[in-house]
Amino acid sequence: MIDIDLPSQVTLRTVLGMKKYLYFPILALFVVVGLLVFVAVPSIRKVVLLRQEISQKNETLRSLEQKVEVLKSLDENQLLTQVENLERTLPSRKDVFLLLTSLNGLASQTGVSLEQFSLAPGSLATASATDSSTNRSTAQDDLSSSGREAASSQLASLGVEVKITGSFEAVKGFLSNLEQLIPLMRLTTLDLSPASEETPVSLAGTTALPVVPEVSANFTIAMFYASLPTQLGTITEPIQTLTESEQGLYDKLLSFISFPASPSASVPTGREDVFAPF
Amino acid sequence: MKISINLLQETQQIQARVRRIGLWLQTISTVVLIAFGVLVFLIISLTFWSDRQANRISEDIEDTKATIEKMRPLESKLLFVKQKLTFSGRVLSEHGVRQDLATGIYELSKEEVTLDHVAVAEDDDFLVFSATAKDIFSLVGFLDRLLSYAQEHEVTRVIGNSFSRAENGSYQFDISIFFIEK
Repeated sequence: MIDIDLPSQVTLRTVLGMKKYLYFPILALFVVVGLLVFVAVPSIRKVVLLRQEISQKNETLRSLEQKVEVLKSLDENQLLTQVENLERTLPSRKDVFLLLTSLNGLASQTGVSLEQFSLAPGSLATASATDSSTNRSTAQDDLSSSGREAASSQLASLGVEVKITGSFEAVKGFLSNLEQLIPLMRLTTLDLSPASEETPVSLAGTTALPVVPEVSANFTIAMFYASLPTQLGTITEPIQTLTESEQGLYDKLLSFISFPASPSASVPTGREDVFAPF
Repeated sequence: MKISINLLQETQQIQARVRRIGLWLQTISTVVLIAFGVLVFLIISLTFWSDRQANRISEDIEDTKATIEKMRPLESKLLFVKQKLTFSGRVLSEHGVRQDLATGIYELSKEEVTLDHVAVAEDDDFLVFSATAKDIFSLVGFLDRLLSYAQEHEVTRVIGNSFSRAENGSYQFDISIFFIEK
């Protein structure tokens, strides 16, 4: 038999006295857990979200600054000239006057007589007028890099029937120059036949030297126009200056045959905002 | 036999060990608490800093937007130019009717052959013409010239639709010419 004699100093109170050392660690543990759950984790989540937001905003800011740089690099006068030239090249509405001026000018230049000219343009000014065009198609697929709200505008054409008479060479010259004429147009049907005896004998603009026309050409052309877009893209959408190919195309269009319209012809240029409603 | 054990010495050792452990725990807890406090402070500071940074960038964005807004007319002109060029490019990429073939056929006719009519339409890959030849020799001569022309000008087929002889010996004929669309 073993008889253990506990010393009088080692009492239950002595053993329980050890727990006084645990109060602070336990309290600290609670504080840490509390801070972790209620402060640290939500704050970390918020920081992560904020960093993402900052990253996105930085991207947006960079894009906007780039846009400002592009806009600052533009020459306003040059742009205005381009707008005016392109408005004549591809009018925003059915500009019958411009078409007549051009056809008449080409007829004078090539020496043919413009005998008949018929078209049914419908309404000339309103947006609904442009909807009644003879041929239209969306341009959504064509605007890739610069695809923006401008795509809401549409390319359409107006059919015009024309009859000319003149010498074969003159008619040939007229027809071959037709697709190099401002405004842009395309020959859609052509019917050549010898001119009848009754046809007028005077060349356009040169009545002093009458010649007997040899060939008569009945043809239809499609004069193209593109209505103005009704709204711009969002302000954050990036823009680019004219690409090399676009500049090349513009230069090519400048070489097309153009006949000046009289000052009375109203061309919607020089406006502060070309997209603003009429 | 009775064995007697005196634990007094061990008790003192245990108490000293417990005190050491207790102090060690308190020290560690204090360090952890301070470290965690610093970490929380840093996290909260980072939150505030990020928040301010986000606000500052938002203000910069608004300022830049205002600048762009002032230059909106310029942007609209640029978009206008680009749109017109896109459409112009599209128009120019497609060709109209083959007026070159029509006038070319017309040029083939000589005094003995009179072309009455040459017609071509945009969606067709052929043109038709009718002509009158003075006699069989003129007709044969014209057809020879036509076939030579066809070989030189992307013509895929030449079809004689009708040939008729008039009482005066002249020949009236209709021909279709199929070509490769540009």
